[in-house]
Amino acid sequence: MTSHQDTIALSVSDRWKRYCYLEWLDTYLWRLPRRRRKEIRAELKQNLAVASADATMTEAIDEHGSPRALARQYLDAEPTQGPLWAHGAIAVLVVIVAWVFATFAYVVGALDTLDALGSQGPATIGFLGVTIEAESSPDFMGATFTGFSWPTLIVAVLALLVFSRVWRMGRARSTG
Amino acid sequence: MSQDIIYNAQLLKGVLPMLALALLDEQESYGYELVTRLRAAGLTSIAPGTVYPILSRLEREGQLTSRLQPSHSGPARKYYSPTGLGLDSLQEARNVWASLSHVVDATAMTSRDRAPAPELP
Repeated sequence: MTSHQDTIALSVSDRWKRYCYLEWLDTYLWRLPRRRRKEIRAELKQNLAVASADATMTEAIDEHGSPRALARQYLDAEPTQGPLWAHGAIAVLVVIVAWVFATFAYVVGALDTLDALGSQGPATIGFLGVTIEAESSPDFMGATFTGFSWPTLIVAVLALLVFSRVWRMGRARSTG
Repeated sequence: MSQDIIYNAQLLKGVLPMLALALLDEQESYGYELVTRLRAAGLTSIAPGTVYPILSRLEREGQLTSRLQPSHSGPARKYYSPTGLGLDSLQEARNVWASLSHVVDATAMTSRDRAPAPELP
């Protein structure tokens, strides 16, 4: 059995190569929980250092295979993850923020148009299911919103379902 | 001259957990050390990427336990050793292998022995 020195001094170049390799691996392991990714990364970091003691870091990395292939091996061995609710929540947040910005831009555009036409309003317009009454006068500039943006709700729900991969709910896979 | 005993990926996938448990039962090892021990045993071309996920799975299933040993260079080394469950699993795998190899020896080897050797011109 090969014995490995306890103290392994890596050059800056070797550390950088190892860091890049582990960063790519981490990218491909995005489906795993963060804690699990950290464990895998820490263990591989040590194993790569040991492997480079008998060869170069480049050879040690080649020996471990491409980050994508190695990640695939790990993912195949891990239990199927349930829905990624955090991802779904972020997707919903993105949809809501996009809706807010889009509505704001639309209203500002409407008010600018009223100004340009010399009309004070109120002008009634619709945007994504919401009725907007825009008014622009020397004393008042603003908009009133009524209704509910059903299209936005539908897109948000779809984003939640897709990005959280809700179809993984309740699915169990044996990895033996 | 060393020779790879197993080329078939499916065969390797089937026996590798047993081999890992057997070697770790002899002596605990960290991931890369186990790879070198498997290579010394005859699996000369086995890749670390094949071994590490198996260690992770066995640990998750409770067949292996691990301890961290501080290292002078970077993260601690993770040493694996079998649990009681792992040893039971190892014994079961050994029994299955003994039965299976008996069948293979009696069937495939016997058939090959029966086939006449081709005559050389």
